[in-house]
Amino acid sequence: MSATVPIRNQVSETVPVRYQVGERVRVRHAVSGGHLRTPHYCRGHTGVIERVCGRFPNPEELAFGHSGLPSLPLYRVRFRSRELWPDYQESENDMIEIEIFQHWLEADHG
Amino acid sequence: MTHHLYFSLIEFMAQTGKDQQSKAPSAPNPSLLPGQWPDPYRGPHDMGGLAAGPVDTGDHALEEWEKRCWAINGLLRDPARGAAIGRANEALSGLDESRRHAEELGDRYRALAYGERAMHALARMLINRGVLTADEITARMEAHR
Repeated sequence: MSATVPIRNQVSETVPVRYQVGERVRVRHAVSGGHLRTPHYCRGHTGVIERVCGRFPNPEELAFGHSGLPSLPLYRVRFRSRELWPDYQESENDMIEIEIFQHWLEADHG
Repeated sequence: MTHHLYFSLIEFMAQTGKDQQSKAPSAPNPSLLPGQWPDPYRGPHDMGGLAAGPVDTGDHALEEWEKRCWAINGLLRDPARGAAIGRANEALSGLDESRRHAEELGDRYRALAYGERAMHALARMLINRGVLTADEITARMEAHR
């Protein structure tokens, strides 16, 4: 998978893609001293990697006027709506997808 | 207050490029949302899942000054503007950076109208980068009072 990921920036260092499509991941809680972009409602919840979107400059660095390089893998993570919203009344098959950078995720072995 | 800030930044833009402000902005329309914000790791922008009351789905036409707020922000992302004030090849604004400064407004984030928020974030960003000093901005705001 990682070999096919497009690289948007010319940097010597390439951050490896850590998660593969179908892998279960958990959104980490407040792990950032800076510009955390994970929506509050998905933190601590588990979902499945739907796709690897590519590598993009780190928004936590861009937010302070830096280059954001090396770029970090970005994933589209698929959550069950009922996982995020316990009182969700619609179909249990409903999903929500959120794009989340690699450093805001951790493997879910549970 | 925001209008004075707006005028002072418009003047700054006139210095870095060709933009001139044409007419006075109309009164802002601040809207405050009720409710507590207990989690220190939740930004004021991060509202997903919170009770927000009825949602106004009507068209939100931007005032002329609000459009100009965003135009200024966009132009400051052009590195050619930086060169005009001796900051060659430096974009003076960035999307993630302007979001950070807006979100760091804290309670003011929700107290300010959309365009006002953008101007306050922009002022903080220019001060942070050493492009303008707070005193310079304040002096120009006073001049428009």
